[in-house]
This record gives sequence, C-alpha cells and structure tokens, in this order.
Amino acid sequence: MKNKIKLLVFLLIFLNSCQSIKDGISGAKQENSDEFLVEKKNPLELPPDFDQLPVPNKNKENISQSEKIDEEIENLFKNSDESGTSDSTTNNSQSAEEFVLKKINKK
Amino acid sequence: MRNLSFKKVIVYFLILASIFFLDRASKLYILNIAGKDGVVDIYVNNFLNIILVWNSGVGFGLLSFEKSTIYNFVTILIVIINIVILYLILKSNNFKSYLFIMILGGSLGNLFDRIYYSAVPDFIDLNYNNFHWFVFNVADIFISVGILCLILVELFFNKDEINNEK
Repeated sequence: MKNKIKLLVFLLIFLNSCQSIKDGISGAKQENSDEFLVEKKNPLELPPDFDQLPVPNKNKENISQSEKIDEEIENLFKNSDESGTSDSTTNNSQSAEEFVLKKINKK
Repeated sequence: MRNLSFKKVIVYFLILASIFFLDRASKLYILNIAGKDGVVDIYVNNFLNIILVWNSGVGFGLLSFEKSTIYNFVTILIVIINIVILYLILKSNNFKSYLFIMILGGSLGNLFDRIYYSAVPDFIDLNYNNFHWFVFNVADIFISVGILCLILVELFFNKDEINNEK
C-alpha cells in the first residue's frame, strides 16, 4: 500500500505542470532580448535646408535689447530698496501692480 | 483484465474528451487574451489572480532546464506514464477507473501543450496574505483531484490489502 501511495505521489509530481510564480514572472531562465528585434537607426545627417537656416549672431541685437530691459527692471528694484525701508513697509499692503505703476508715474 | 462493454468504452471516452477539451478551451481563452504581448495579469479577487506563466518542467517547477534533451526525455516518460494509466483504466474497478480517466484527461491536456508549445501554460494563481500557491491550470486540477482521491481510496477503502499487511 505504501508503495502505491509513493507511486501516486510520483505521478502527481510528473503529470502536474504547476509552476512557482517567482520562476514564472522573474523570467530568469528566459533570454533578456532578441538582437534581431532591435531596430537599426540611420547615421546622423545634416538637414537638407541647413544653409537656409538663420545665423545665430543675427539675433544678437534682440538679445541685447531684452538684456537692457532686464537691467532696467533690476535697477528699478535696486532704487526702490535704496530709497528706504519705510516705503517698502507702507507698500506691503498694496499690490505689486500698484507699486510698479507708482514707480512709472514718478519717472 | 475485465471485459468492458462498448457502451462503457464510449462513456469513458466521452469523459476523457470532455476533460481534455475543457482544459484546451480554458488555455486557448487565456492565450487569446494574452495576444501578441504574451502577458495576462488579471485581478479577480483577494484570493485569485489570473497570471500567464509558462512551465517547461514538471510539477512544482521541477526539472525545468533549458536543455532540450532533458525536456524530450521527460516528455517521453510522460507518454509512457499515460500508456500505463490507460492500462490501469482497463484493469481497475469502476470507481478507480473513473479516477484514472480524470488523471489521463488532464495529463493528455498538459502533454499536448508540451509537444505543441514546448511548455505548458499555467494561469490560476491562488494566494492568501501574500502567500502564493503554485500557478496551475485546469488540467492540473483534474490530475490532482484524481490522484488525491486514489490516495484516499488506498488509505481508507482498500481493506483487503490492509488486512493482508496485518
């Protein structure tokens, strides 16, 4: 009887096909990638209208203008700081928009 | 070997075929869901997930090697076991033969996949409190139930052999 039970357990192991979830999901026994499935990329090339593109130095004037505006704004804030703390404390309650408008009107 | 009537052979065959096709239908349904990606990960409830896992070995993830010689050897061994089970169906009494038919039906389902896909798709993942039982399929259910019933029959109902051993 014991032999029969051993035989049945052997059958259970051999005929079953259950798989540990870790082995199945981790894919340790599978190949990571197929080199033939990787698409080849074309080599780098110059675009066809490359000569017609604008030269970067031409925009320098525009950049300088924007820099000027930035400097003016910075100076404006510096002046406001130098004019005294009393102004800044009184203007705390006012909105930033009103503050800027006042400064413009002064000029 | 006992004499089997034609009617009984038909009944046996129908049970065997229905188990085989039930298993095949379930596997085809899951493989259709998997599609080209080959991934199925469905949450059913707290205790059951449907996850597609391929097993190239035998039960409990054993004997799953990459070498095809071992795989082919195991497949041939399973074919021989199936022939032995077929012999036992013809030899055993009524109740036992039904249990052997259950085992053979499930075993043929898994054997078909071993030959056709070179691996068996498993997809039923029972779990409780993050403890996962081995992922299995419908054929495994029939095999396990059949063998467990046979063990119970051997333990509790085989009185002749128990008395002889005493």
